[in-house]
Amino acid sequence: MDQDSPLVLVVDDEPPIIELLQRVGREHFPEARFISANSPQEALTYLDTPNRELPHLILLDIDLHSSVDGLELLPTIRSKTQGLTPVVMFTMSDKKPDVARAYAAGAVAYTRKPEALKEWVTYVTLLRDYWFRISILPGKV
Amino acid sequence: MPRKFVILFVDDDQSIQQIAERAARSSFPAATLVFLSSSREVKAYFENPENQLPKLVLLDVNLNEQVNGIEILSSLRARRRTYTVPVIVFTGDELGRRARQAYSTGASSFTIKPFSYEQWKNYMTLIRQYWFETVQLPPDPDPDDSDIV
Repeated sequence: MDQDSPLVLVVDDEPPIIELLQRVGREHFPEARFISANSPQEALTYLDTPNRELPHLILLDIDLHSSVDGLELLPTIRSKTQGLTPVVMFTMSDKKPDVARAYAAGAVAYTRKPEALKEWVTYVTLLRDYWFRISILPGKV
Repeated sequence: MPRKFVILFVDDDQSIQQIAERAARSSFPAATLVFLSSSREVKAYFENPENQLPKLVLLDVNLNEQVNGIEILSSLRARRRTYTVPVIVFTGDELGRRARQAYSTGASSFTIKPFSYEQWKNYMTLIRQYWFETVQLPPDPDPDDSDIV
């Protein structure tokens, strides 16, 4: 796929999530590439790799079953991407303090993980239409 | 009284207001649009305690004469009451030359300004589907929170 195609980095420790996104994406957002980091360390390693492609968008879970959670990881991600890659929280939690902390730490939006397959289709379609049809994302570099 | 879903719409081109208003009525009827056309009006809006804090701000970055949209964005980000309110910047410049600057100043997203009425309806539909129906917006700040940073 060419380098201009949408690149979405998914930071989530559960492999089925990336598989679901890739599966739904193949049908509803085939021009996109979904790549995953399974731990905070993997996410940072990716972002620190010389000449790596800057993702257009990052989906970030909170509970990563690690000593550092997504909310603690968020400021580091923001600084490593110079704030140029919007970070959308992508999580099961809907606790108000988590929502408040996420926005305070610089997440652009807070979303819940879909459950039924139909909801995944809606989520991916909206991700495509909102972030990649009417928005401009810096990405690359 | 139920709180309205207030969207501040900041654009110095007042001819846009009518088309945006009509598109919102059709595609996002739950929204109440408040139109402001200068940085002075934005400042006055937030200084009046009777005005409800907006759920979203739509902000033109090509406000050429009176105001620079990027400056409004950075002033919203500097106030305690507004620093987490999603600010959706839009621009008529299809090359998006200010995208990087807008994101690094704290824009939640950088979008292309619709042109025709049909495009405005589609735009308002997506704003509704994403920010109103999918996203959990930041909780309203504590009333005690002062605006002094």
